[in-house]
Amino acid sequence: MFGRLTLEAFKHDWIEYLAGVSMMMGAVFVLVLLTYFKRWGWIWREWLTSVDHKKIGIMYIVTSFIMLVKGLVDAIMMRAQQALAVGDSMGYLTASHFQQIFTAHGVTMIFFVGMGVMFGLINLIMPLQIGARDVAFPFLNSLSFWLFASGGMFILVSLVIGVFAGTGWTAYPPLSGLEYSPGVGVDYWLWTIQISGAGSLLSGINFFVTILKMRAPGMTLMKMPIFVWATLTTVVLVIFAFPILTANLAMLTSDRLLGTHIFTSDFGGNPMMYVNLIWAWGHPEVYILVLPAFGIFSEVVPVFSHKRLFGYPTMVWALIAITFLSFIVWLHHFFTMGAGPSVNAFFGIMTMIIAIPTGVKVFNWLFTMFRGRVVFTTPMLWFMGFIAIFVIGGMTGVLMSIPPADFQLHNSLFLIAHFHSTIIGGVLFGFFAGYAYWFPKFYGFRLNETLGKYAFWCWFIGFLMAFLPLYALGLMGATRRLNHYGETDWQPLFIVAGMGALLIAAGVGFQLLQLYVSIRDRKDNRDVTGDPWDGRTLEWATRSPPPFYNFAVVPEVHERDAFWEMKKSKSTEKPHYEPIHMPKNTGMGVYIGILSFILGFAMVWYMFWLAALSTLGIIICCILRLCDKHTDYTVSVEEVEIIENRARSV
Amino acid sequence: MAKKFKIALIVLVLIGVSALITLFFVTHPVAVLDPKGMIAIKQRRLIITACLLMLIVVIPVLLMTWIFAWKYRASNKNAKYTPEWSHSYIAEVFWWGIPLVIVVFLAIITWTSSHALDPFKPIDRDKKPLKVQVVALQWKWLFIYPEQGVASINFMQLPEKTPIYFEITADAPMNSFWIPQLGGQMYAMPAMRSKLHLIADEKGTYKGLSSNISGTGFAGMTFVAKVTTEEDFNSWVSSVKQASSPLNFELYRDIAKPSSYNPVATYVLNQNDLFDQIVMKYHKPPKD
Repeated sequence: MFGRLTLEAFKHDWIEYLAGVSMMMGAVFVLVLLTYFKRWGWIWREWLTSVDHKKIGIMYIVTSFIMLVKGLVDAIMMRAQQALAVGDSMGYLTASHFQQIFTAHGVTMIFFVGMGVMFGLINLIMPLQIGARDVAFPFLNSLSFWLFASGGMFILVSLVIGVFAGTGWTAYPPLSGLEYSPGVGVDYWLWTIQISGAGSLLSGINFFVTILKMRAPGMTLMKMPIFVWATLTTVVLVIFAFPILTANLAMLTSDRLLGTHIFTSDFGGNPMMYVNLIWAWGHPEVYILVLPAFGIFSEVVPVFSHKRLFGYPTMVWALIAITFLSFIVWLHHFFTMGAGPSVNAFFGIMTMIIAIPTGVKVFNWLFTMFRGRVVFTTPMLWFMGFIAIFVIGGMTGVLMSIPPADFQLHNSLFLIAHFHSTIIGGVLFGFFAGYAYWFPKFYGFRLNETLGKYAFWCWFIGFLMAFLPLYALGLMGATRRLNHYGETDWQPLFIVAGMGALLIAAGVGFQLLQLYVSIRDRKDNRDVTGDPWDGRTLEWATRSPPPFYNFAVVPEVHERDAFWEMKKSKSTEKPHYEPIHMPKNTGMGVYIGILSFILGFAMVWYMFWLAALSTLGIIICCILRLCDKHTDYTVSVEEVEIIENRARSV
Repeated sequence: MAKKFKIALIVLVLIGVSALITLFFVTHPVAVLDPKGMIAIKQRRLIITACLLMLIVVIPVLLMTWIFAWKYRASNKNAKYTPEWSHSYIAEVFWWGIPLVIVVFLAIITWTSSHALDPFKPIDRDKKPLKVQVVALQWKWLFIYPEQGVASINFMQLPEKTPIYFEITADAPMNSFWIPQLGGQMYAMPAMRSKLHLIADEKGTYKGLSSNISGTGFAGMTFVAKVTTEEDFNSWVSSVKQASSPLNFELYRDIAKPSSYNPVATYVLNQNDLFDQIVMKYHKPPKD
């Protein structure tokens, strides 16, 4: 009946109980709040079942923020362990618990923070920037979000029921095979990624079609804002890379579940093939994370420098070059696996070539500032921090692309410092810049600048403290994922790194405080123009927050920086409204998301009857949705007029 | 006044931090930058050369960021302001060109060094290399000296100035065999035989470890590589031969069972093809 799920699965040590209980208390708190304020109907109608790209985007970002806090707690626990567990002291975590924490940290941060915030922002911004009323497939968008959310649930559930994988976030076999990891941890990991990965692939297709088919009249490809270009190249990567991941994980699942020998060491299996495939997805994946961030900076820098973006065509070609190159570098993740020198050198050289288009982008941003009028709002601070950290990350990255140098740096803390430089400095700082920049668009008021700057300085100095010591530790011979080490020499650096992590936590604290204070003082920060920063692109052409149909009249585009041109040639014509065709909300995404979660959970615990039932449920849901003819409606001209006049009079 | 005070404070903090950092690195060893063998020395030189080459771009970028930010701040109305200027062939040729030239240099270095420092390539010295077979187990290292007929756990002794030919495998999840002061690492994988050629040019004891997660005991997979004169190495071999128990495949099975933080142990090798058997057992159908 319950497969391999027994009461044993609920037994943990007190630290795990603490984590589980605090997580459940958070969930109960939210449920109580919803009940107390009688908001159940509201949250169901307005949010959970919504197919509006703006609401889905916000749900992505809220989910990611919860996961960011979770991943950060993981990070602090790891740093605390490493600050303590030296010499005779074994620290406060068991090896297996420590290993679960770093695996969960990696999965959380890559899939549910990095991808979550970027998909959230793309959802929010991209349709507005191309003058569209929603994405191409609004229901699919809702479904993508719910698959993403249900994937994330596995990580949280594994805190209470069973364990998570302890294999590292890439879970190389044979360690992740049945022989060495017989428990449920790797299965949780597999279904987390498999289900959220399906969501990511669907999003990728959705955004791709949206950009190609739904741009406002006149917006040719070379007139699209760079953020849209960044999104386009990102989703091309998603569409090509994610099927590799899905297939790879399916093969590992088959090894674990059906007794095949694809990635085992014996019976003709080959674990090196898995390593190849995971990085054939994994390297494009890091560009899936960072390209949208490049897009964000390309929007932020011109606006706050009050100058056109420098070198638009080169920016586009640089993005395309990075997209292409990112598929032919994956072998640099395992130079140490024994490929020949020519193969290693080829992949090394391809890797360093990526530095050229990336460097070009940096120069273009700098020359956008050159002879501009730069205002140092928080988004610009994030940009400055990004340049400082990302340049170091890029340099160490190129260093490690030289195979014989990589032999000395591979899997050391130097590597950890490198990719945190690119992912925190690039992806997160990029997102935070975008968050401060676009927040007023969706709420009609700005975020508090002072607290935003405090948050930035905590993050920036915290980052330097947390990761510069890791560069040094790597050179001292410290490898990643150590729950204990003998060298007392290393301890001071680990302590500094731990303090850095705490400072970053303070930064997140300031961000939460900033949100609270900004909402409290929203009257003072109010923006009624819809264009608080003197923006250049179409999202600022509509009011803040945008109406559910985004644009009452679809804008016509003649130039790059479409809204900038519009502002110059102010027309006084009375707008001519037309009926607007909009998608209806649907709960189907929620149902399929929940059923997918049950499916994954049943597979983790070998409750095959339940897995079969939930699969059947998913198929029925899909058929019901396909048979539903009433998925859309039309907003009449009168309604549009009423809404627009009411907005104007406020 | 307050502003001056602020700047002075920041400068003071920066000086203090740099002093602390310098002090730390003067008093603490940095393994990769303190190599004791030809391979590791060349790898260090490579790391430093590459870093210097890249600094040609990195330093101007960092400087430009701060200079542009300062000079073109909105409050500085004296600075030139060209809001529509967004294109310049000359400038763009420069920043495609300069990184390109540097990458060309790096690419040449990469190609030549990848071949010169290929871990599978024997080291060119007029001395017969010493063969050491390395087996990563759960969670300890077994070192087999087939020519000397001895074996050891979590400890290896090596003669100085002698090329060492490591043959590496695992009877465990993937590990990575790494002695930072002697040179870069190589994966240890079950059913495979990878090679690594290193050399130690100075006597000393160097730390070795696994750098790839292989299960709960992974952090304890450290070992000591003790480099001595050839005479000392030979006398170590003979003392092991006298004082240790014999190692054959049956005993190996016991040793291979999961255990962590194993103390150093030595054995007399009773079965010369032990390493081959460990590799081959994955390629043969099991007997039971």
